[in-house]
Amino acid sequence: MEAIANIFTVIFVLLGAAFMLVGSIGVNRFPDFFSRAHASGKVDTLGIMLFIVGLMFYNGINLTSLKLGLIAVFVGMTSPVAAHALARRALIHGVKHWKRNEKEG
Amino acid sequence: MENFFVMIAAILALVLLIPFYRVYDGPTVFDRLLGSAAVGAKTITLVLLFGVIYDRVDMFVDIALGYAILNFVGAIAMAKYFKSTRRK
Amino acid sequence: MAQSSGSEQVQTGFFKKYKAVILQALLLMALWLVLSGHFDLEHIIYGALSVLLVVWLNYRISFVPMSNGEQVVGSNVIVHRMILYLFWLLWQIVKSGTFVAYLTLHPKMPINPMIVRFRSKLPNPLAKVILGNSITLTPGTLTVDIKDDFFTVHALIKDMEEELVSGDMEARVGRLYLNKCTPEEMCTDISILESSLEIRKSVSRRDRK
Repeated sequence: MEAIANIFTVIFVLLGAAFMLVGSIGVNRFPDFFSRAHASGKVDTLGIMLFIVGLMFYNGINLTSLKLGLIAVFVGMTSPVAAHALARRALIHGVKHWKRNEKEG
Repeated sequence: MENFFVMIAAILALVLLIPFYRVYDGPTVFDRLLGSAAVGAKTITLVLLFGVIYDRVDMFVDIALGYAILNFVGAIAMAKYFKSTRRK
Repeated sequence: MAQSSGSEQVQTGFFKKYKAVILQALLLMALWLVLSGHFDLEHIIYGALSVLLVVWLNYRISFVPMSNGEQVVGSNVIVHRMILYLFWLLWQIVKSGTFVAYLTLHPKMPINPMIVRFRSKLPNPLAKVILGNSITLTPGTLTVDIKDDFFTVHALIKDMEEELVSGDMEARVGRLYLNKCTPEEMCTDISILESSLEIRKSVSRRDRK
């Protein structure tokens, strides 16, 4: 039982860390602010949630796991709202969004 | 298992540095804010990981929750702040 | 017999009227129990007192109209549909995360961003907030602004924009509050904003100064 839980922990923690890495790369790689908000608001959220699920497997069923789940729910609720708030303010300030050139296809 | 978590913590500490480039480079102030928000989101998991390594998850989980709330309120406060200071 | 049915009716009326308040109190109490971690009488009494205070404040604040004069009314949410909806949303989070991760790692980065504006016919402000959050969590779309009935959405690629304006998600959110809701009539007045002038016009007038 312990071994199975540990295997799940390793899988989920590694997945979460990988998604966080991809999110960080996305924040640097996308061409304009709005697409960066996509990377930060979605990929990072998924990474953190997977990571916390992994830690919940490691912890077993107790009150601390419940608190960990609470953090996951909280991050899932607030991270899109923060991205939305920043994107809205950027739009009002007149930050231009990047468009693909027609010639490039 | 202990070694695995220490290794992941080291990797995460390196991953944490990547959005800092966006904070340094960002053409607009919003890119910088987004980068700092991304750093804060990853810090939550790093705090939890330290809790696991020191075997005090029950304490660190509260700190992580507080940090998550602080990160969210910080982003919202910044978005509200730039309402009043409009660039000409 | 008649009397008992009468009293029952009063009771269901009471529960219907204060369903939101009771749900809120239960949720807050569960939150208190999880966060405090003590289950003795003293801590539970402190928790119940603070829950009562918060619920009372929230109840009073729900009568204050919002800046555009609308009232926040959200007491008639259908609970079991809400739970199903949350599970659907969880699946959407996984899908959107993997999708944007794929776009990030693709060497050519096949994105074609655009800003779409559409009108939604959701019944109340809370439903709009839920829809806005859901749009942000579904693949390739990000809610940028909500003004009255108009949603301004940033979409990463063209297919996502078509899926968005089909009104499927509006119907899902609408079914949380209404019994019948079809995708066709929920989403109207779709326009793709091209010039920055149009975008400027679309954002809330109140904030433009």
